[in-house]
Amino acid sequence: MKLFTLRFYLTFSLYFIAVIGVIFLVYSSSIYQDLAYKNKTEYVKSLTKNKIDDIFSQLDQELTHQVVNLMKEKPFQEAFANKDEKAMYAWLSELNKRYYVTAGIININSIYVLDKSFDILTQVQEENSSENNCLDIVEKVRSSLTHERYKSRHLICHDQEGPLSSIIYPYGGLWPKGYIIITGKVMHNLKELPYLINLPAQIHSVENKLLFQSNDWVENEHSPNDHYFTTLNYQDRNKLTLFKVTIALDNQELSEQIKQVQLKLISFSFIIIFILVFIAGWFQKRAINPLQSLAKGSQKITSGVYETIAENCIFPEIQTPINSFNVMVKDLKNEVAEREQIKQNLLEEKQFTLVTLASIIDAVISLSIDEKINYMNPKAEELIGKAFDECENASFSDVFKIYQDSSNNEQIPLHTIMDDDDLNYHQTIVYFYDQYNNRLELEMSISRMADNYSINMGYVIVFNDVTADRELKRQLSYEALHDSLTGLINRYEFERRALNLLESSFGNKNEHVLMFMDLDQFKVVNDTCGHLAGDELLKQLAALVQESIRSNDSWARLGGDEFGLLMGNCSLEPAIKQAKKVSNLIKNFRFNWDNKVFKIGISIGVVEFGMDGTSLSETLSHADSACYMSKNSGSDSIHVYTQDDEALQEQQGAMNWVSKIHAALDEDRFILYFQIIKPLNPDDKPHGEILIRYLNKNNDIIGPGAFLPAAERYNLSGQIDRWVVQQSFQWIEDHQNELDETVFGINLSGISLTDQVFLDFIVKKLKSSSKISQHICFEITETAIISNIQRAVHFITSLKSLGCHIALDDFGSGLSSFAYLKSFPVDFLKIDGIFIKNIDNSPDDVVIVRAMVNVAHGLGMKAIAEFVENIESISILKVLGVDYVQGYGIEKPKALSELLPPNP
Amino acid sequence: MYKIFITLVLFFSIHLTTFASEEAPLSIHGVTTISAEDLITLLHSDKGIALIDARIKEDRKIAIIEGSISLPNTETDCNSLENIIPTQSSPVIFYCNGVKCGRSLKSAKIAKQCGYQIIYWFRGGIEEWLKKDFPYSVE
Repeated sequence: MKLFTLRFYLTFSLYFIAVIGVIFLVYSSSIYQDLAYKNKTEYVKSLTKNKIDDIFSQLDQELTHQVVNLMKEKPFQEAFANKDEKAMYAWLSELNKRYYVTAGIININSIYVLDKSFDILTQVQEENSSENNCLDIVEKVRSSLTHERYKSRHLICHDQEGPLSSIIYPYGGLWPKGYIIITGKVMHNLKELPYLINLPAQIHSVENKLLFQSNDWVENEHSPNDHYFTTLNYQDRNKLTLFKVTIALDNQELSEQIKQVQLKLISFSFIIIFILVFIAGWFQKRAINPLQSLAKGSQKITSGVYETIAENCIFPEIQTPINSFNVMVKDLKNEVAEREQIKQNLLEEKQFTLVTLASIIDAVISLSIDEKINYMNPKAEELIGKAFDECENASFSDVFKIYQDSSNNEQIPLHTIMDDDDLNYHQTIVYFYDQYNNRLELEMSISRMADNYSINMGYVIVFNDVTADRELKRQLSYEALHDSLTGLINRYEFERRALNLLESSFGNKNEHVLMFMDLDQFKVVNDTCGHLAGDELLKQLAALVQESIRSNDSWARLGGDEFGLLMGNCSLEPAIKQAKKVSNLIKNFRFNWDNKVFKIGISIGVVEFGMDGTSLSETLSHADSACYMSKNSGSDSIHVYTQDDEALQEQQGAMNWVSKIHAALDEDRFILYFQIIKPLNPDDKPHGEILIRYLNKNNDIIGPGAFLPAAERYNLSGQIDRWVVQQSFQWIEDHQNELDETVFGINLSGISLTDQVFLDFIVKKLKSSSKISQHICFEITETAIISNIQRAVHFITSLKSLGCHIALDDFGSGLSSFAYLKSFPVDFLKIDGIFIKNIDNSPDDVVIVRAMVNVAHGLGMKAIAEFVENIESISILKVLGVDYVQGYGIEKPKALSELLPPNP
Repeated sequence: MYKIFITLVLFFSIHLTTFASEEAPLSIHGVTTISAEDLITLLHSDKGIALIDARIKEDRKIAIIEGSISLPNTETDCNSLENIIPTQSSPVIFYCNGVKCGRSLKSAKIAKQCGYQIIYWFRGGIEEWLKKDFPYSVE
């Protein structure tokens, strides 16, 4: 058991009480023993005294009785009256004897007869009796007062054998004539004392002479433990000791009695101890154990174990706190579980936050309110080239040296940024030199951290390295305004500048000039030598022209092979000079690539703007038109836009062709025409070319020269091709029986060649009516093939396999590469009209045509000559071996419907 | 509680008085009550005084006051008294066994009725006499 616990004190108190109780009992038993002895002794003494008193009283009465009787006796009365001493003596002696024999109760020792004046008249005494002092009684009467004299008196006197009881009696009643004294031997009666008190007794005289001893007297020496003795000094009324009575008491009986009582006390004390121990145990179980459980439970709580107490205590003072404790434990348990969950969540969240902070590419630093570093993520460490441990609690401004301006080396104090306003968030761009002294541009975001009461707790600073971004942005903004290939400004910037000029000229009517330029023959370079060559050419030309223009003029690449020149505050005249300068520069420029030399031309459209209020879009449109016009006029030409320029007007009409073509396709406003291609050899099959015309709203027939370039330009040629193919096939199918073996040439644009859907469309058509394929010859230009040679080959072979014919159109005007001819399974070679038009006057053309014809024949092709305009040409061509001729000299185109005579 | 106690005390005292009524009254009108010592003094002062033993004769075998005349109360009347007491103005003493005896009282009352003027009544009787160790006699 632990010291100083409640259990200890309780148990201790109980045992203490028990011990005190036992001590008390032992003490009381010893007191009891004393008291028992004392009581017994006192009792015996008292009893003895009473018995002796009784004996004396009885003796006195008897003596009185004897005296009264004596006085009645006549002989005595006579003797007394006569004062006859002798007679009195004789009678008394007789009487004495008589009493001695008969009485038994009393043993008279002596009788005295006295006269009035107390003189002894006569006396009778027992024989051999010793001297006594009994006559002293006379003095008692003699000295007493009047009335007392008439009273009888008692006295205890002695002789050598022991006490005597004497009585003096007045003889003669109230008028005494004398006195009679009678003495009785007390010992005779005292011998009955042992029987009266039922104990052994001894009687000693005052002088310690043994007067009497009972028969069953025991001596102390024999068995000291069996008996004990007490002595009573018997005294008279004057406290004078008369004799001593010694009584023997039975020790065993008393000690047995005491032992029984003591045994009872001890048993009682054991019962008390047992009860106390039981009470202690009961308390322990009922009160201490629950309390201990409560204490243990409380201790467990400190070590994090939450257990309720199952104990039930009958004491409400203990049960109430136990119940409260259980409720508390349950609540705590729940709370702790909840808290654990929250803690776990917080940990996870913290982990998540740390991982997130570590993962993000921004540098994150958290500061205390006094701008000391609390946290840095790895990116921040990387930024300053130091670990967080080195910088913890360092001042932010000592670690991060940031500047507002790249040129200004004055550091920005953090508080000035935050104190600028009361905002909780601030973002700014700052400059920072990293450990390698690289200047970084950082986007710095400062957030104020506030607690629930909006009290500032510190800051979170996020640095986002925007160096690369801003560089990229600058680059992008440059690229947005410039052509990446040539470095010239692009169309957007060009138009913006033009707009600026236009706006600046409001009011002052300044003149400006804008030029659109389009390279001739560029496509050839691009197609034959690849885009790399084309790009190189564009770069060289851009640089070439750049050098020739005024520094404040804007020289731009508008896209593809189109360039623009913007000349602010410049009249038309110097502008045209500049245009010519450019034209000449390019004309004289030779582009070398792969040991090939290319000659380039340029078409320039010039437009003046700024003084007549035309809008930018109008100006641009005018320039485009002028350029287009220039291009149509032939290479290296310059066309200046004028309002009354008829040709340009026409061209401007063509600008609207897009919508017209769409409408025409929907409304069937196109008409198929046919021009015969006449075989010079009668054995050859008849041949012709299907052409297209547009029927305008006035029902005027418009030639393809008006709309095909527009269609080509705006990617509508494919749709036109499809229309033509569909219409042609339908017509041929319809009139198949009347057509003999005539072959119809159908022109296909470059776009159509690459259109798989279109090819599928043709194939499907041909398969559905297989007979028409022999009547079909697709005419394809060399440039159309070359632009996508693989697809073109696929296209050609697909159609040829179905029985169609293929003609290579306009041969000689483009690349005229014989090498390609080998690859193409072509049936007809159509020699370009430029070689035919003047063949009757040009021996060169003759040579070229002859060569071409030879090549064609050599490769198994038929040669067709276009633009045959007169009979002379026909005969020459015939000589040259050309197989077919076509042109106005043979027959003008006519509507296809007119080809066959109308049915009767 | 106190009232109940008082009530009980009163109740018992009444009953005690009732028991005590068996004893003779302390005095009778016209009769002088005397003690043993008074009796001795009276007897010694006036030798003509009549001491009448009011008990039955049988009682006299046990103890008598010497000089007393036996006249049991049953036999007492004016005539018997006249024989003993010389005149109506002569003193006379009555006694019996003791306070509970009652005979002497009755006799004294008769004597009173008979016109005797000096009547003494030894209320304590033989009991008081012997108790005080005065000498007695027997018949």
